[in-house]
Amino acid sequence: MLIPRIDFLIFGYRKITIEEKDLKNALNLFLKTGLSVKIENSSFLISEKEYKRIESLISGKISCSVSEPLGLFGVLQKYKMRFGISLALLLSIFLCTFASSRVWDIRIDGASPEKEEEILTELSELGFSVGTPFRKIDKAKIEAEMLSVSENVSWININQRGTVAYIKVIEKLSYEEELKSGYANIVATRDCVIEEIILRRGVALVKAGETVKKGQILISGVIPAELGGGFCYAEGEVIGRYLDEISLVIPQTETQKKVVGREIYRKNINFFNFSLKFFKNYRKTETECDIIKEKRKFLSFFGKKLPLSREYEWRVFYEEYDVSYTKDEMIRLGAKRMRDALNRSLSDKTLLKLRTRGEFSDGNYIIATEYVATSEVGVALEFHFFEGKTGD
Amino acid sequence: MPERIKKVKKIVSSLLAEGSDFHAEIDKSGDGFRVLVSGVRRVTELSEKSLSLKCPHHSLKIKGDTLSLSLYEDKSVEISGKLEVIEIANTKN
Repeated sequence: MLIPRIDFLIFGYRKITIEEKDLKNALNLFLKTGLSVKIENSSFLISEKEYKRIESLISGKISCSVSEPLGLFGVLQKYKMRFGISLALLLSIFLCTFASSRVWDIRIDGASPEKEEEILTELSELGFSVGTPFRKIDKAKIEAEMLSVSENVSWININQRGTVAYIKVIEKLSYEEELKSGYANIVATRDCVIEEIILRRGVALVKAGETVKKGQILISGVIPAELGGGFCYAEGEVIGRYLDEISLVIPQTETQKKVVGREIYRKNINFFNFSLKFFKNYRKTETECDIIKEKRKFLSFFGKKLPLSREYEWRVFYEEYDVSYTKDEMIRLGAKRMRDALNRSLSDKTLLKLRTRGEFSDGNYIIATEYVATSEVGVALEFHFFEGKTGD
Repeated sequence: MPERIKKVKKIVSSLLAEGSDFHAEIDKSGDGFRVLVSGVRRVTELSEKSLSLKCPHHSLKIKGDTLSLSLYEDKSVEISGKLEVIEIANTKN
């Protein structure tokens, strides 16, 4: 089977079938003229350009059948009078060029989610946002400008893969963290057993394994005379292990909220950074309500996010009502609320051990969880000197 | 490697060892073989089952099945397909 080359498909080609009796002559002629062809079953493919070259050589000498132009060039030749096809082709080329030359998504790596929006805004102010043509983006310039104007990044690197801009950043430490002036001790925020101390500045007054009380100085900002003397802003991390408890009471009867209706408050269509407000409900409401925002991005056929989104705001009305629980329901509710409370409480801790107990008392269900966890237990506590007393 | 291909390789090697201008390469390609011969002057016979080439001092006859032929600008010829017999003859003398 003859398979056309990629360049043949683009620039056009023809299929030539030579009659058996002339095949040898044709091959010897091609050998003489230095033509490159692959022959199968007396047929071969030849580019449109090469065909023009050998057309005069074979005409009248070799009996052969020549196909119409094939490939993209052939299609264009065939349909050159049908302007709709040419127009659609031009339009699709334009759309492809337009779509592939712009930033359609910006993905930031290395920044906390709350900083990402700020970094995107800063980039947008420097002329780099979704929809910006890649040819207008001077990556080195934007990186340099970001370093000088951004309050959020201390290093930035912009990479392009397809139509997605991948941005790697290192977050800038806040002003307070970077330039800590003054004097401070690090003190314990709770009673605990010290697990680990990472000292950055100051003098450690406790060791791993020691029990400390809330308020006790863990890292001192006062440097003793044998270590050179003076004062500093103590810095470091102190990890402590402690026992804590969460207790919840589930009453037999409680008041809950029930959604009784909702109405559309506002409708917006966002295109890049431009927001088109096409509906707003100005009716005032007497009853209490929540405002719920719903933002939905439109996707292309390929699952890519388009710079087009629909934004709805709803007023959700509710009323309060009393609800009574059975004992089983109280236990289930208690377990669910305890799980939520633990998730909130342990989000910045490492859990080591956990024990939960529950009991009914005066019609209420009391659920309590004791846990052993480790977390950062040191906090900086500044101290000041007053003029005339220290002589500093 | 099939016995006949070993034989061809041996013949090709001996021809090259004699300092001849003949050059041929044989490789496995798909479920058949591919033979590349350089310096071809003429194609004297061509069909799907048989093919003959003439070089300045040698001639080459190939028999097989579903043979296809490619010509290159430098006058080398590549034959691929299910090769069964390759005969190389020295026509110098």
